[in-house]
Amino acid sequence: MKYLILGASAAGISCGKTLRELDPNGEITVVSADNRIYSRCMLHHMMGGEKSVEELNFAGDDFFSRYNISWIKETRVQKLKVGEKTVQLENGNILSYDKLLIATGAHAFIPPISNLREGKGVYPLRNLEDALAITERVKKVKDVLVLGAGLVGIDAVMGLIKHGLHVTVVEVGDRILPMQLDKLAASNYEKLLKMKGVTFYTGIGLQEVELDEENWVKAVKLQEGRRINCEMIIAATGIRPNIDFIEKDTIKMDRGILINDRCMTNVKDVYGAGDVCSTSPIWPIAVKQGTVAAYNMTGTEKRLEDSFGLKNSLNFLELQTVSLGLTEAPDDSFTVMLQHYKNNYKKVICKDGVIYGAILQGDISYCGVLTYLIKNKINISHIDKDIFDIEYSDFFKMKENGEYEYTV
Amino acid sequence: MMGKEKADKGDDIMRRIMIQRDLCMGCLNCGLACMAEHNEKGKSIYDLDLEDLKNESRNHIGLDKERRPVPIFCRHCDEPECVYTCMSGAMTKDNETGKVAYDENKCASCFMCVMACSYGVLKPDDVGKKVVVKCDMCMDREMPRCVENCPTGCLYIEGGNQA
Amino acid sequence: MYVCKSADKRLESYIAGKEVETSFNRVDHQKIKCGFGQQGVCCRLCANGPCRITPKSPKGVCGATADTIVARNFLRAVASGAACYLHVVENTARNLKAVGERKGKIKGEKVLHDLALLFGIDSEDVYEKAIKVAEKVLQDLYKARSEKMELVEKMAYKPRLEKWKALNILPGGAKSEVFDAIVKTSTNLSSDPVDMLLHSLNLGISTGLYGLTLTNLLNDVMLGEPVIRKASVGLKVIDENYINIMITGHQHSVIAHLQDRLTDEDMKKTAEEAGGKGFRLVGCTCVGQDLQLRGEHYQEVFSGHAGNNFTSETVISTGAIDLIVSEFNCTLPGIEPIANEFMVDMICLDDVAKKSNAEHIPFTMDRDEEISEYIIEKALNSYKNRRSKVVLDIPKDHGHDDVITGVSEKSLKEFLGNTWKPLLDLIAEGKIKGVAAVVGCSNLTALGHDVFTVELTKELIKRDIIVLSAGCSSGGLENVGLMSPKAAAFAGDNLRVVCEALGIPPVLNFGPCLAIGRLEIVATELAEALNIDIPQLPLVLSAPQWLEEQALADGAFGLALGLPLHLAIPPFITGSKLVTEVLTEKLPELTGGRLILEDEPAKAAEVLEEIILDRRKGLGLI
Repeated sequence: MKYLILGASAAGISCGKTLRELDPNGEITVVSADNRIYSRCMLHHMMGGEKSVEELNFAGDDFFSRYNISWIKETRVQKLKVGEKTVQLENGNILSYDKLLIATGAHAFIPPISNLREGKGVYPLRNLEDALAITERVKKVKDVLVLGAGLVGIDAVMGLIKHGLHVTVVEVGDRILPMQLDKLAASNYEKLLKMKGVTFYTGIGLQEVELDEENWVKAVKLQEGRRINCEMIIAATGIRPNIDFIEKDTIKMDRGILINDRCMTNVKDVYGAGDVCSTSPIWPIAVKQGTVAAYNMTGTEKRLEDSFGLKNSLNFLELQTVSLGLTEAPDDSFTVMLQHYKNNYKKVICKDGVIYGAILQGDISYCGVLTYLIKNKINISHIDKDIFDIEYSDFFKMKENGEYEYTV
Repeated sequence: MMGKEKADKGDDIMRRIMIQRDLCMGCLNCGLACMAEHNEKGKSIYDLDLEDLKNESRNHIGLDKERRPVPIFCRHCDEPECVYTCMSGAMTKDNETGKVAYDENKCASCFMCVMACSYGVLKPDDVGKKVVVKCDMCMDREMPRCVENCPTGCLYIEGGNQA
Repeated sequence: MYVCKSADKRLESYIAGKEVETSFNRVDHQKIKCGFGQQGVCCRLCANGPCRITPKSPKGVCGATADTIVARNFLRAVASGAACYLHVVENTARNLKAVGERKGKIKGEKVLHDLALLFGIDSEDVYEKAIKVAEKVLQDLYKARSEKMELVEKMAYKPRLEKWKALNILPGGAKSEVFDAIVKTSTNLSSDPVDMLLHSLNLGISTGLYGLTLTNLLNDVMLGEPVIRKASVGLKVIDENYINIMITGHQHSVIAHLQDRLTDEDMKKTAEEAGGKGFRLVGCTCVGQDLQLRGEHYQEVFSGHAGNNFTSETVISTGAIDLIVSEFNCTLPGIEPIANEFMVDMICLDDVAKKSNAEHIPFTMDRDEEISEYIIEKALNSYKNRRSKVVLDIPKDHGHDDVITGVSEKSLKEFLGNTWKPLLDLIAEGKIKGVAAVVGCSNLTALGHDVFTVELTKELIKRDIIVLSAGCSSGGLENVGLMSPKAAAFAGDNLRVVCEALGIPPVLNFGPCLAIGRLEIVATELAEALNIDIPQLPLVLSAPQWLEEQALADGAFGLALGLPLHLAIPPFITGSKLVTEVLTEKLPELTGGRLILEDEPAKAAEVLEEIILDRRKGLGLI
C-alpha cells in the first residue's frame, strides 16, 4: 500500500505516525513545503528567545527514520490529479498513491488595505520563515504595529515585547481576543500588556499604510485619521487554506476542503485533515483528523467523534485563561453565572441545564471537565451543586480496563 | 488484515492504578505520598514541607454531589486527549508501557492539555504556572507510592503482566 | 503471617512459630501511616475539622497554622504523659501515707530519713516521718497552678533551678498544670506555640521530679532499695511448675503486700496442694523491671523479668501464666484475646488500666490483705482449672542467666566505693568517653522490636561510651545479652578493659522507665561533683524507640535538665517549622537541651558521640 501525505504539521505528522503503527509494511511518503517539523503555535516562543528553532520540533528529531517514512521536504505540490491518483510536485516529479491525505494547512491572509500588501516590513506570522524574518527585522526597528488582536496577533505581541520594542495593536473588534474572551477577560490582558508598554486601538480599522521612498513601512493611518509611526507591521489577519493545487470540481470545498467524520473527501482514497479543511483550524482537531484519517486509510473504520473547535487555552504574562464555547449569552433565555475571587474570574453560560460556554481566568485547574460537559452538551440539572463546584467526581465511572468514563 | 498486530496489542491491559472508590475515605495519604515521592528535598515523609506550595500532588481527591470522596488519578488513557492536544511534543504516549509521559522541558506552557483532559486530572503548577502537574506512575519505582500508601486498598495496581 | 523483626532473634522465631496473633503480626497491617499524623498537622479539636495542613490549605478553618496545631498536639501529648506519671506518684505517696498510718512495713528506712531531711521534716518516729513525707508530696501535687510546688526548690540542682526560674517554667501544682495544659490546648484557646512548648517543659519538670524521681524514692521506702545482683531474664524464667502470676504496669507498691504474702510458708503449702511448687510473680513491662531491680528482697517469689511491653503477649502464649494482674500501662489491649484463648483470668487493680475482660478490684492500702487473698485464690483456681486444658510451650533457650541488675544511683555509687570519683576518673582518662542514657520504651516501628535500641547501644559502647538504661529499652537490652558481663566483648577496647576489670557489662540496667529519674539523679550528682551544670557533662540521652505520651513527658524533663535527647521517630512535630526549630536548634540557648531526630542508629551514635567529645573539650578533657 502506498500512502502519500501532503503536509508535515500536526495533521500530517499524526497521520504518518498512526499509519505506521497500523501498517508496519506500507510505503509512506510525506511531502512538505516546510524543511523542518515545527509547531507553529510555538513560533512566538522562538521570537521571544524562549525556545530554539530545534525545540519547536514536536515530533522528535528522528521522526521520519523512527517511523520509516520517506520525506520530500521543501517541495510544494503543483497539481493533484485524482483521476490518475497522482500528485505532481513543483520540481516536476510525479508521485502516485493508493491513499492520499491532504494536510497542506493554510497560509496567512493579508487584507487588501492600501500599501499593506506592497510595503516592505509587513510580515504575517504563520510559518517558521515568517518568524525568522521578524526576528531579524526587529533588530533594526523600534516601533511595531500588530494588525489584528486575535490569538496570532497577541502571540506576536508576546514575542515582540521581549525585544523591548514599542508595540501598537490595532483591532477592528471592540476588544482584544474578541473570539475567545468577553470584555472583562480581555481587559485583564489589556491591562497586563499595557504595563509592558503596549498601546491598543480597538474598534477601529486600518485606513492605509505609508511607505518611504524605498517602500519600507513608515506609518499607518487609522480609519478615524490618527497617524501612527511604525517601521514594521505584523499582519495577524486570518488564514486561508492551501488548496491551489486542487483542480476545480474535483474535491468539494467550502472555504476549505469538505470531509466527513471519517476524514474522507468526496473523492475516493483522498482524505483531508487539519487547517486545509473547513473545520475549526485548531491543533487538537488537526491531530485527531490525521489519526482518524490514518485508520480509515488503512481500512479500519474510525469516526471523528470530537470536532468541537470552540476551545482555546491562553497563557500570556502568567495569566491563564480557558475559553470554551460561547463567551457571551446570545439572549435572555441563557443564564450567566459569574464568580470573582482575587485574580480569578469564572463565567458559565447555561440554558436548560446544559452549559454552552465558559471562561475561566486565573485558576484553570481541572477545567477539562467543563470542556467535556460543553462539547457533549451534558445536562447537569440533576447535580445539586454550585455550578463552579461540579467536577468529574459527579460523573465518576471506571471501565474494566481502568479508564474513566462519564455516567450521565 | 492490516493493523492486526496493533489490535492484538491493544487487547493487553496496560498497567494502571485501579480505584475502588467506595473504599476511599479521603485521608489524602495518596496525595502526601505523591508529594513526598516527587519532593526534590528527599523522599521521606519527614522531608516534606507541608507549607511549601511547590509540593503538589499529581492526583487529587474530589467530592461528588453526595460529598463522598472520589480519587481523581491520571488514567494514562488509551486515547489520551492531553497527547492529541499537545503542540510541543511534551506529552507523549508510550505504546509499550501505556504510560503518558510529560516532559516539562519540552512544554510550552499552553495548558491545552489542562483544557483537554475530560476527567479534570491536570492543572498548571501553583507556584510557577509553567509546568503541568501530571502523574508519572513514579517513573521506575516498582509500585507507585500512592498505591503503596493507600491504607484502605482503594488504590491498587492491575495489568501490565502481558507486556 | 508477617512477623515484625526483633533484635531478639529467638523471640522473633518463637513468635513466628506460633499461631497466636500479636502486635508483631499486626504492625504490618498498620504499616501505612497517615502522613498528617506523622507530621502532627491534623487537628480535630472542633466540628469544623478534622483539618489538615497541606501546601494548598496552610491553615485550619479557624485559622490555626501548622505551628499552632503541632504545638497544641504536642502539649496535649506531654500533658497526658505527665498525667500518667503523676497518677503513679500520687498513688505511691498515698500508699506510703497509708503504710505510715497503719505502721506497716518500711523497708528503706535510710531513704526515708534522707527524704525527711531534704524536705525539712523533723520527726523521730519512722511512721510519722513516712506520713509527713508522703503528705509533702501530695500537697505539692494538689496545689493550685498559681502556687509553686515546694519540693522543686529542695530537689532540683541549683543551677537548673535558676535556669527554670529565669525561663518562668517552675511548675505550680502539678495536677493543675496538667489541667491547664488541657485547657490551653482546647478549641480556640492558645495559639502561641512558644508558650505551649514552655508549658511542656514545665510539665517535664513535675514529671521528672515527682512522677519519676519521687516515685522511685517513695518505693524505695516501702519496697526496699535496689541491690546489685545477678539475675535470669527472658522467657526461660517462666517455670511451669509454679503457679504463675504475671504483673503488668508501673505501680509496684500496689503489689507490695501480694509479693510479701506469697513468701509466707503457708503459701507454698497451698500451692503444693494444687500441684504446684509454689507461687511466682513473672516480671513483665516496667513493673517487672522494678520487681527485678529490687529482686534481692523477695528472690523466692520473683521468677525474673520475662520481657518488655511488646513481649507481654508472647509471655501469655507460653501457656504457663495462670493469672494476670495489671495496675497501669503498658497493658496492651492485645493481651485480652490471648488471655481468653489461654484461659488466663485478668484482674485489674486500677481502673485507669481497666481491660475489657478484666475484673476490676480497686486497690486501696487498707484492703491490701483482702485483695492479696483474692488474687491468690483466683490464681490457684485458674491454675487448677486451666493447666490440663492448655498447651505449654516455654522456650527455655530464650534469655540469659547472668544479667546484672539492681543498679541505682545509690547502689552504683556504693559499688564505686561510695563516691563517683572512680567513674569521673575513668571519664577524665578517656577510658570511658562519656555516658549515654538509652532509655524509654520499645516500639515496633523504629526498625523493629528493640532493633534501634540495640543497634544504637552497640554503636555507643563500641565508641567507649558507657550506656545506662531504664524502661522497656532495658527489657530488650538484657534479653539480647547486652546487660551481661560477657557483653564487654562488644565494647570498644577502653571500655571493655574497664568492664572486664570491674566485672560489669557495658550497659547498666537501672530498671523501669521510672528509673530514668535515677539516671537523672546520677547526672545531677556527677555535675555536682564536678561543680558544673548538667549541660556541660559528657552525658547524652536517647529514647530511640519511644512509644507513648509518657515518654514525651520524660523527654520534656530531659530537655529541661539541659540534656541532648535523641529520638528515632519524630514526636509528630515536623509539620511545624517553628516547633521543630525551637526544639532542635533554639533549645540549647534556653535550657541547654536539644532534640535530635535521627532514624539511623550509626548516624545517631555519631551525633551523640560528637556532643560527648564537644563536652569533653569544654571540660578540658582530650
